[in-house]
Amino acid sequence: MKIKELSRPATLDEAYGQLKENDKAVILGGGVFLKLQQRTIPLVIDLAQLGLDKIELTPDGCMIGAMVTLRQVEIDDRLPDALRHCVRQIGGIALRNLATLGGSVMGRYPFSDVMTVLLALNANLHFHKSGKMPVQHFADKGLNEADILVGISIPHVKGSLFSAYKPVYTDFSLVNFAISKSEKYTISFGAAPGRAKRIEMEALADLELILSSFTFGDDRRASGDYRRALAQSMLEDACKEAKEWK
Amino acid sequence: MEVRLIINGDPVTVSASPDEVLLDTLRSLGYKSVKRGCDSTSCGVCNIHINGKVVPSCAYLTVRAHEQKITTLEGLQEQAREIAEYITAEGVEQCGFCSPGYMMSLLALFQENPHPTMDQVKHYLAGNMCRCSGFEGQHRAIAKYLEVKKG
Repeated sequence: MKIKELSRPATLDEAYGQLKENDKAVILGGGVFLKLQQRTIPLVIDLAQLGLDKIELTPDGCMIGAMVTLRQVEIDDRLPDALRHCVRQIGGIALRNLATLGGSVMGRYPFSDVMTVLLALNANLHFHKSGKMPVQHFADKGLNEADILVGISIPHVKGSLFSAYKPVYTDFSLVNFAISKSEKYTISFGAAPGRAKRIEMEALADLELILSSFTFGDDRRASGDYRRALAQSMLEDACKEAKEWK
Repeated sequence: MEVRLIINGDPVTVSASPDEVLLDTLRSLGYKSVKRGCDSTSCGVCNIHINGKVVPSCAYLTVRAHEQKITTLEGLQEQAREIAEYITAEGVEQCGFCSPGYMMSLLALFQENPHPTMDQVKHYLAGNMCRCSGFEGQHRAIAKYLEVKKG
């Protein structure tokens, strides 16, 4: 990665102005994946000085700043279980002190554990220009125009959990899964190996019906059949735990 | 860009290009405990502390460290020596390349949590690779160190 120019704006308006002026500009979150890219970027806009690194409770749930690190999420007991648990095996702690929640979202990575959980938690993304957007909408369609993710809001849930199968402790998931209960159950599978999807169910009665709503495909790491078998096992375990959510 | 760093308590001013990472800056300043391993935030051998938090220096832009407190193993030799005695007593050290990064993770853990369980230790060290040892020896050493600390 080569960076020609790096700006450190002091306000969101300033950052947004720079982004609109330069259509090749890139927003810097933690910089972990940016570092791995083989390209030259004319302008990198660092959001580190905008105070977007706070986690706040709201009357409806919580609001997490886009620059909150994965490690901050991991150790904040106020956050839903699924979200705290899903970051625990993303790299090591040093990496999680750098990688941000916003960066995990904006990459729209198919392997993302975070996206699977945000889908199951019915999270909303808050952009500087476009305002509030359901995470599902962003996962499916991305953005129409350049924008800056400011925060992620998550409504209260009665219970939630995350599970994933990783061949090695800090590996990418072969398949990942999250479920939450509010009025209905929201269930999502991701890294399958395509991008995560979510469905809503009134009850957890027909597991075959739930599994048939998702596509489990082949890649060089695992077959679709293997992923589906893992998914079924995760779902069965989750149903036992979900009975306790009141 | 001119960047003012505070390295192990010493103020240092450097000129850094926008894509320079702390790994390169620190090594060029002579802090050779900071090693280049995978160069892709996966192995942990370049770990340093910034404001007390362990981070991979291979992905930390130097410009971002402006006026931040950076700690390398050179700045924590006393604390490191105490633990290192347990590790060498287990005969773990072979090539030693992973040791500085490993120690930086371990010291960050003990600052956060002076009495961790072994499960907490293993979770904290999951991002530190060692190609010689297989980790068992380090775990034995840390378990003994914690046992003695507990008194």
